[in-house]
Amino acid sequence: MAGRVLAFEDFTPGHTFPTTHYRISADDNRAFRQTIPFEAFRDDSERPLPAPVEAQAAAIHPTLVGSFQPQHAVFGWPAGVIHAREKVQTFLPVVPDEMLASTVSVLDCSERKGRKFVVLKIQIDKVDAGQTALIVERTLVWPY
Amino acid sequence: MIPNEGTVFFATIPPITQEQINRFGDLHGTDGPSHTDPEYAKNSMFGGVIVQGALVMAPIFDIGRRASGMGENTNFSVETKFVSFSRPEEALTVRAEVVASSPDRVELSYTCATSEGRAVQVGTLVCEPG
Repeated sequence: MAGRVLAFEDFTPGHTFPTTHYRISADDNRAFRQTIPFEAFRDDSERPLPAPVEAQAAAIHPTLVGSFQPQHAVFGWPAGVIHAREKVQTFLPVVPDEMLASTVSVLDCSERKGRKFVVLKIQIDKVDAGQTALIVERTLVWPY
Repeated sequence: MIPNEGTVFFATIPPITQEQINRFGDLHGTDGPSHTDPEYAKNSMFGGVIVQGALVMAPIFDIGRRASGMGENTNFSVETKFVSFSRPEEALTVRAEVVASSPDRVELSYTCATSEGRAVQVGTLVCEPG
């Protein structure tokens, strides 16, 4: 459940929100993949690039692992927040139903040309393995 | 097979339905009214529903996995700038060019644009064996 809706002034660089835990099911992963249809080609071929084998399709999609849900778990935000930039690093695949720990921290807050930027770091760890699965650095533009 | 430097890949992302946007928003947590409430979006600064940037970005991982030829345990480092927004009815094309290639690292530079050539995302994708 989302916490209090935060204004730009509520963010402090260096602040880390409490760690939260979550799991992603195979059904949600399957449903998620169905929302992002595409077909990929090499420029010198009319044949689509081969689709992932079953094992790849079964791994949780990195975009779903590093979703906005961990942010929802620790704070709320107003309508009108704009997603400006995203850096994602993956380290290990995530499998359905494994326990993940998410830690959201504030890397930077700044105002440029009248726009209010908040940069968050979201680290997703695999609880049982004790290893990091993915890190997202997300730049958002706050409306107020 | 690892692609050579200069190899270009394309991907097409077809128009997205409101139902897909809503479902993606539910799962991903990007369910703000700019994406999911046509009436709100019409009166917002966007003048209508916009597709989540993350939805447009998501296929980049899959394209990278297929293009790099690195198989199941590919690790990614992606950096994307959302330079504009796209509408649900707009089909998009991703053009990804291999700018560096070795057996243990493939780097692609990519642009995602509308059929009129308006870029909505630009970025880089590095694929390495996991």
